[in-house]
Amino acid sequence: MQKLIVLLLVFSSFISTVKAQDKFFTKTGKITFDGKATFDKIHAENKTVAAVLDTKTGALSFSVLIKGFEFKKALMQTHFNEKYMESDKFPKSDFKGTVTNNASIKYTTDGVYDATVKGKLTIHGETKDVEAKGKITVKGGKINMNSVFTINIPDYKISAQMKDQVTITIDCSNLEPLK
Amino acid sequence: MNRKTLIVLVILVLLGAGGWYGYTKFNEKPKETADIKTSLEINATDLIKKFETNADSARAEFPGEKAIVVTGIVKEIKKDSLTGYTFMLGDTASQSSVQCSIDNSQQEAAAKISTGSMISLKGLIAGFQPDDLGIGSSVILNKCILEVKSEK
Repeated sequence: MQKLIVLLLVFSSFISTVKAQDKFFTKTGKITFDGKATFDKIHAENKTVAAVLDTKTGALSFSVLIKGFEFKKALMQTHFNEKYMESDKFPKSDFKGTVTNNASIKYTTDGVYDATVKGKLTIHGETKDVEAKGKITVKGGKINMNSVFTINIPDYKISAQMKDQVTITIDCSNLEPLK
Repeated sequence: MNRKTLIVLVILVLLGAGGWYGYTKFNEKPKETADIKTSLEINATDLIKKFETNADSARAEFPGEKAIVVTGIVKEIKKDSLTGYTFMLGDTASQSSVQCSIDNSQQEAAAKISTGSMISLKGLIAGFQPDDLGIGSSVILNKCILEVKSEK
């Protein structure tokens, strides 16, 4: 009887550990965007992206503060926040979606896996369906996520004096288990 | 020199000066954190509490891109090849923190700080990330520089 109780305790402890390992997160993910204005290239980086990945369901969420984007030129940063993104009115951009091929990703085995993500992207108060391809890397119990995709800025009612297409690069490394 | 020539010269000088001003303004870099004066000083747990209690009121008190000096215990240090050092300040019993992204110029100094240290950082407020994702809320500061040497 005692052996059975010990076995049950060990088993339930194992289950709770595995369950706790389902979700991985970071608060220091990086997003960059690159675009082209009339007289200049536009490049900005944000190093404070929050992301959560549920490895069991494939649910993926990102949240990024617009004022966290840093530019090399002060005037560009001011125009970005005040004129184009209206960041006082729309302080964040969010993504909620899923890794559609989640079943094919072996989160317990080190490796680099192709991933397709589909979901809803909200920028400047506008929400659109997006799909993007990227890589999920599993290494030493941590997860990296990378993707490069483009968005059409008029879709998000952003009136900027630049070309419509902007390239978004996502680099989220060392996602760790959420305890 | 006749009057007409003088007028043309003055116009050219004004255009040149205007053009030069526009060019320098266009290419002006953001101010370095060290060069921004501020009188805003607060401890990390109080700052988090202000934003968690009333984010709108806290945003008005601490407007975006304003410099602030925050003091608190380093409860976590993140080091990433892509993003450099980030210090999380606040109560170790809470998931919420003041998240301080260290300025590129201070990466070497940041390497000497350890968790549990009480430090002061001056940074630019990027904003508040509420706990929408179940990972705690964050008051986010960018381009942070160390204000005082850490002590345990």
